[in-house]
Amino acid sequence: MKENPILKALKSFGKTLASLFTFGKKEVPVFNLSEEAVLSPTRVIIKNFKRNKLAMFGLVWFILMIVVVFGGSTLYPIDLYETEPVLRNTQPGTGYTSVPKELSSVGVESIATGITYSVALGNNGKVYTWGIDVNKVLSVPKSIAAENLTKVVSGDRHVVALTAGGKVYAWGNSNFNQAEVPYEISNVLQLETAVDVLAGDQFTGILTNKGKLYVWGSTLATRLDIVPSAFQGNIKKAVASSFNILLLDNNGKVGIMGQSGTPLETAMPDYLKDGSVQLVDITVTLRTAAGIDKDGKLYVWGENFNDLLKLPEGIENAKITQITAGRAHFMAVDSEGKLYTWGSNKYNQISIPSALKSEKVTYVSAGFYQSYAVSESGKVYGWGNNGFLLGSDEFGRDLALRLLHGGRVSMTVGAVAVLISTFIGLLIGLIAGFYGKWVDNLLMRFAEVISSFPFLPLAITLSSFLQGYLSQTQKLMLIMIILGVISWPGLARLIRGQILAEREKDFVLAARALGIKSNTIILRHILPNIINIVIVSMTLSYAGSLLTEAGLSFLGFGVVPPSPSWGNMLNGAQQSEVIQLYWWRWILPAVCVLIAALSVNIVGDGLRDAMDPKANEK
Amino acid sequence: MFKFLFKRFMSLIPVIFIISVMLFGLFKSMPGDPVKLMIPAGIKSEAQRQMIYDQKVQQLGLDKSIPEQYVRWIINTASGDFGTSTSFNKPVVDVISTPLQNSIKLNVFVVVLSFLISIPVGIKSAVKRHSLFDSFWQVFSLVGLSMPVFFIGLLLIFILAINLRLLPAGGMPFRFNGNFINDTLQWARYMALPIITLTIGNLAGTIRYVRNAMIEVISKDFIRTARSKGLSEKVIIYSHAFRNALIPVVTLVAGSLVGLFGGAAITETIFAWNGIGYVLIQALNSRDYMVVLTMNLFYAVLSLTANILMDIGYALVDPRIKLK
Repeated sequence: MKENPILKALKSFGKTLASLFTFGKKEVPVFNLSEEAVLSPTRVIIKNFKRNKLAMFGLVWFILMIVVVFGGSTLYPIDLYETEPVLRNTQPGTGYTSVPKELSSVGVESIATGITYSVALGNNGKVYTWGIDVNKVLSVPKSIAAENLTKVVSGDRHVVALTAGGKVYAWGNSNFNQAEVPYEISNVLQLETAVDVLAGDQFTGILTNKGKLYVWGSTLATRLDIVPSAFQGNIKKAVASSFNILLLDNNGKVGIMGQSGTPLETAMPDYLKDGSVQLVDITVTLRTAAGIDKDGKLYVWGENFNDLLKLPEGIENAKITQITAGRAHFMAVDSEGKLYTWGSNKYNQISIPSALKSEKVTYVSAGFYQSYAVSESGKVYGWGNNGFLLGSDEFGRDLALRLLHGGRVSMTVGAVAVLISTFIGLLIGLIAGFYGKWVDNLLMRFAEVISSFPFLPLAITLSSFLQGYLSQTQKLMLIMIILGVISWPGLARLIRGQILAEREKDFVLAARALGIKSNTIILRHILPNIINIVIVSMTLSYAGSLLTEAGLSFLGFGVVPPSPSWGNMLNGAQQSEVIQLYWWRWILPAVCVLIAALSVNIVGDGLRDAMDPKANEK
Repeated sequence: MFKFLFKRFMSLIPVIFIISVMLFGLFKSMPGDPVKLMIPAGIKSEAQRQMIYDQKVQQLGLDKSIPEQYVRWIINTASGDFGTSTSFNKPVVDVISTPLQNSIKLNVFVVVLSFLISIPVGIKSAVKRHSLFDSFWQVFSLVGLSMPVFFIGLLLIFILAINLRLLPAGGMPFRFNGNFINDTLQWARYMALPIITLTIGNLAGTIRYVRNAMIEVISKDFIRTARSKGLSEKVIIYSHAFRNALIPVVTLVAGSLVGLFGGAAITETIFAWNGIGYVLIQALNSRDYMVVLTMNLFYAVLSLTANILMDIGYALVDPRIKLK
């Protein structure tokens, strides 16, 4: 029922498209000659244009692009200042949450999640991986199959596994050696046995049977390798966020290490610090933490970002048995198997699948922007960030979304620039052509001055100097104005030439003889005769304008970030590592510019051919 | 001829005057103070900074009135002194002379190559209209016209430099050892990709232009006459038709001289080629007014000269046009 209007709209759109193609065929001319004779020039042009299959294809393609770009950007709004640095440069692809079917049948021991992938330890001791590979994290080392694994955890781009014998395996990104056990740690492991492992953003930690925590990897800035002496030797559990590790000691006391002064530390309630409330389990998002005591009561503290401190209804009376946290959301399960979720819903990570709502939940796991739950029947559900269809950029922003919005900006900038230049060119060309004499001379000298500057350097110079203290919208308008104001001389000359030709024709003489005012003659009698040329010129210069905007923005002198445009999305391609490793970041926007300009050029060519009287003769 | 040239040059004087006034006015009204950037960062004391500031202002003549500054600038420029670059701290001429040479080296090849390819291809396309050859080049030029020039460059870097490792991805040749063959090879290696990029970008437009001009001429009556006389197709096309099609092509040659200097900014940036466009962008980023001012004036004079060249070119290829 609900889909009806959409279907209807689609149908009518399809009909319109079809009619665009079939019109010419329907009117198979019987009285060909008489029909041709009657048609007005504009109708002849339209008819010729419709006959040109390529041009029609270009037109339909262009209209389709406009519909997609403008419709898409309206449907999916963008927050210009929102970034997810941890998701930067992820390659195109979806399926981050596509849990393998086999996992549901063998049963889940645990699930751990990285930025684009997840790993699970099945009840059969086998490691399952899914999602998009990053730093070869999906290729599980072969030697692991023979081991009896007890735990698998995941950092942002690396995975750590622990065997029953206390042996640690790690693979994936190892920029900071986080995926290999350092010499000092292996020495320690001669004396102590690892009983737990944890992994965070570019760091890895192990907890030994003596209650000691050892962390390695990228710890220089966060000082995560320094464990508070009050806790070292007495640690029961440690959980990792990006810059901190939250500790739980054997007495249920909570401690923190890593970057100091984060809301995790400053907003920690005193009753947790001094141990008057004893927790049994803790979990942590980026800067918000949650814990439960032995009665299943929930405690949440830290930064109230994304409503992380706003608890869901009914949770205060529930007896919570399990808690887990992603980068910006929490999930909790109570003793009756009811699932609670709260926090950010940017990637739908707290929207529980409807099929799961009726079932009891036995296991939950969240990581980054993905959520997983296992129901009583053993089925594994995954939801949340399922991936970026076209990848993400250097700030972890969805490229597909930015392409839509960038397209809107690029296409609008190009169109407005062309409108401005057409208006100026038309005005000056009309005046110069019709009045002639010194007016003509002056205006044409002026046009010569403007056109004697090469286009791109002048545009770059103007935009660089004028952009000083403008707001984002003003900067956008400035680019349109600059492009429009310096590209009119060509059109002005063209129109002047046309008017010089039209002016000598008899109908103008007749109009003059009738005593019609010059203004009226220009606007009502001459202008309609040259409007076709103006339209063709506008179309072709629109394609040029799209390319110019892209070039300017590519150099950093056009549309300025954070406003996306196809040109400035390519800005990163000035670094060779982007060209080499992150092809989607430059090929996709460039291809968008290419196909937009191509379709406009095809339409422009078609229009020009349609207007060419020689083509009409046949 | 000389009378024409003299008159033509005289008519340029008001245009150049207006351009210089506009440029100067534009640059005077710019926000930002380049002199402040010239003070060495190490000096912390306010009084000392002020002293150096005053000194620099005086040195650059910025304490004079605006008209006086303009006159000084014009006189200096006319006598070949283009001022001092604030970011490089040396005369503008020195700043832009090497890049200008680099750009010219690049562009000579591009212009020659693109005309060497586009003229035969354009002619053949026009003669064999709607053939496979024609269709191919039509599609090529349509796509080429719609392709941002940096995309061509990036694709070439991606394929030839990064994946196949055939050519350097960018930069200037530096491993010279005095051996002529080695040095030439160095230049060739580094120039190859920018030249290919610019040539492809150029070809798209020129092939179309030549083709259209030829089609126009081929449909004329005198070609039919020539055919009916029994002249060979080669003579008709290359002697009769092409000479007449040359007139629009001359416009293109003159236009491409300027276009290449201006349009090379993007390509030179991609390939880190130390050319004139690259310098313009660096100068803009460091607010180096004198360099930008000089370069814009240079561009303007260049394109005005190209216009004159175009007129002379017309007269050379078309005896009907008389320069007076």
